Amino acid sequence: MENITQIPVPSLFNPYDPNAASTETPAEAKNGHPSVFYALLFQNVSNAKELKAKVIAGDPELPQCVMVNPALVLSSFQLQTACSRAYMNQAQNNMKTKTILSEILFSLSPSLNIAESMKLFGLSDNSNSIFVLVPSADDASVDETTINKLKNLVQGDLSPAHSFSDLTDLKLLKKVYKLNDAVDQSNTVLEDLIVGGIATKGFL
Amino acid sequence: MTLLSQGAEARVFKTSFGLKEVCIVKERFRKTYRHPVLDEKLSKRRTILEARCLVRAKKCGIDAPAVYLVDPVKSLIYMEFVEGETMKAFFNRELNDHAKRNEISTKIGTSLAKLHNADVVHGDLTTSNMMLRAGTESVVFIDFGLSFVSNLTEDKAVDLYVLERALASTHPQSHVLLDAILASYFKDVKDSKQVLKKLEDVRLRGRKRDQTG
Ligand SMILES: Nc1ncnc2c1ncn2[C@@H]1O[C@H](COP(=O)(O)OP(=O)(O)OP(=O)(O)O)[C@@H](O)[C@H]1O
Repeated sequence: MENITQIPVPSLFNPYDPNAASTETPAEAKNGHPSVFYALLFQNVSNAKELKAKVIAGDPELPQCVMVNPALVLSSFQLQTACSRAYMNQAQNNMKTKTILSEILFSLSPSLNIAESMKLFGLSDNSNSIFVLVPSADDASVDETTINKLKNLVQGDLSPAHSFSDLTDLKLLKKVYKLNDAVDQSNTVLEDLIVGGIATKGFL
Repeated sequence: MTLLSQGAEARVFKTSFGLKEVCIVKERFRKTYRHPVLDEKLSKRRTILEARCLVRAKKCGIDAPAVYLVDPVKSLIYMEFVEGETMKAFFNRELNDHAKRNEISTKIGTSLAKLHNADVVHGDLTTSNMMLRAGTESVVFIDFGLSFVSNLTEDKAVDLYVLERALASTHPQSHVLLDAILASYFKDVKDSKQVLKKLEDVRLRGRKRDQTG
């Protein structure tokens, strides 16, 4: 599966203190969520409109996945932090959207407006390329059935492994994440700021 | 997972975080003497403010650990592990390389001016709360646990005064370091005259306080 990038979703930190009153042990704190997401990149997609309709309708034909606009993705770590943030929200009963998959998409966005976030970071009718994030099976392996289903559903080319930044629309990314006034415009700092924005979103 | 530091306010752990092989998790712990509900509220607010100040600092062009995840419920900040040594260790090691000490002190002043120009007051400026990044030798401000946003020259002057006192109590020949820091700071900081004036006021108050004890 050399054309699939892995996005790990680490379990959340639990400072284990034997003296603390808490009875929680590291074993209990094990992640109750998929440990990896697989990121598939489809290019030359011709049926985005149809796919978007399926996503919105919650079509049962569509496997569990998150469809992301690659123009607004700079790195795999950006996706990892959005996943972590979403699973943390879920664990703390603090999700702003209905499902964990939409919560991941919402977490990616710096906007607090759900509809706007979905529009920017999700599919649009004329999307030409799509990142599809697929949660791993229970044993962290690639879920082949899901991937085959997706290959049938998405009319486009499953692209080989690539650098995430190749497809980034930097101008749009900076506008959406409000990074034009950042003093240091290097990709490293931009990534740090995006991730920092995802981490602190909605916290006042 | 290892415990790196156990301070008065927080514990600092080193662990990994998915794609990042190393990561710092800072846990602000509960104050048992405070009312639990109040304590939770304060810890939560403080954790969020620390994370926001870290991000704001980075945005204004200074080097600070990147924030990866904030957990206000458990009072945790997951952040970048900065490879390098503390400024305190550096100054203690490079006792005789005056050119180098001067170069780094100048960088500290420039960074601090950027931070203050973005209205971030650090709140705990010591040479233990700054690091020198390995490789790039960039000055990294860490521990924003007492930071806040303010445009008051008074707050910026107090920030400088805290640093001045910390340098004096930690480093021999501290005035040499301080002079270089302040020279570059006042070259770049906005409203430099007002901040300088305030700094003199704050020093005077400090001295009076010391005398009356
Ligand atoms: N991002 C980081 N990268 C590398 N080391 C770090 C980082 N953050 C903290 N440390 C290490 O942990 C120590 C304590 O961190 P920090 O000052 O943030 O915690 P604190 O509990 O507020 O400390 P104190 O109470 O001693 O002021 C630092 O002096 C530094 O050595």
